[in-house]
Amino acid sequence: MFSWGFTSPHDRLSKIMRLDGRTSVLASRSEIAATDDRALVDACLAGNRDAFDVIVERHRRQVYQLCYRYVGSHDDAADLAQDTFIRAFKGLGGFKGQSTLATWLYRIAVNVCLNRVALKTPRPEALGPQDRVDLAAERPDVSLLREERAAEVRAAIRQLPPKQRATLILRVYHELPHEEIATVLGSSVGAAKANFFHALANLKKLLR
Amino acid sequence: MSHLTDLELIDAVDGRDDEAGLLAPDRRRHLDGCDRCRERAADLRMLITRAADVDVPEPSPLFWNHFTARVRDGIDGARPGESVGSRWLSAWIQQGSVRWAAFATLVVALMVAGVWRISAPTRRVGTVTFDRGADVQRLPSESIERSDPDADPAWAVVRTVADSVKWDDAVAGIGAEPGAAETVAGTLSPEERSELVKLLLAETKRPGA
Repeated sequence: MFSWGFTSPHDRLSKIMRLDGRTSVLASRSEIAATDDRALVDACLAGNRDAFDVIVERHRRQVYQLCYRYVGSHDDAADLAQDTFIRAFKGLGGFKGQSTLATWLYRIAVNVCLNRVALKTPRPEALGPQDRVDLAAERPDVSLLREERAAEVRAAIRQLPPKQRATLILRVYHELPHEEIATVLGSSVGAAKANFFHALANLKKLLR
Repeated sequence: MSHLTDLELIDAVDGRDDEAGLLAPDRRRHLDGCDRCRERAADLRMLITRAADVDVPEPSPLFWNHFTARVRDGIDGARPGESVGSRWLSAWIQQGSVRWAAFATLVVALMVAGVWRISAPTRRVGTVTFDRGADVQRLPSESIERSDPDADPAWAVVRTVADSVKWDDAVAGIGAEPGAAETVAGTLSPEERSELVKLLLAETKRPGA
């Protein structure tokens, strides 16, 4: 496999861009997958659509999970995640690398979710058994109990006010520091911490 | 010493390795010795743990296979960074100069209407000559039927003015240059200006104006 180990970002971009040239196949899909997000963004801006596919594949699960935790519905989360990546592609020129690409995508996803919530009340729906992957072979009663408790928590999170919900999701599940949460939500660090505190306080009330 | 504030409690319970030490040493000592604050902190920790234990149901592998294709379809025909252009357009529209140009266009339209009224040969109520060259019978304004706009002299004015405006220019908002209103006003005699002011005042006070 080709190694990027001792090449500069410019060299990496040059090699990735050879995908667009019809005379060379030096850069394979797997080679693109091995490169960093910044180089992928540059390649994408230079017209390499495959580079954006790699970005999608790299971040789709996290973005989907953020959206799912926000709306509690597989169909809505899938739509929101798709919308997030479409907006990201169109706004890719606005990514300056001041934060990680993941944080930048979370910011878009949170905005997409906030807009969706403002437009309609999401209708939570459970995934059908055929849609799930049974990762752990548990006793049925244990599994049922665990799933019931998880459903309680998910329902409680969905009842939180939008910004508290976003803060809790980004902090607990995506482990973003409060500074980055503040950036994502366009608020101060103090406001992000206050949102987190109130989210937990409300969660406690809802789970009683 | 006062109890920990909400934000201090968050610093105490949720600091990761890189955020350790956010709580000042004296506040940390208070936390260690205060049952109430310790209980509140334990409550928060329990909630964080309980929330963190909840996973998102994993969609089928088929979903992931289709997801990238769906995104690709969604951006088909789009260019990366194209929304930046949209932002420029939006910013341009929001510029004050564009608003002023629109305002100037409105003033010019009002002035054209005013000048036409002043320079009309008679305070004619019904005689209008159309392009097709046929004179229309003089009609009292009360008898003009709304279903026949060609018989309305006011409509004839609109048509006359509109004929001189190119559609593309109107759409682009360049029908009148900034400052055109002032230029026109500068060519009027004092009497005409006085009459124009009266007309504009009358127009602005008219119901529905």
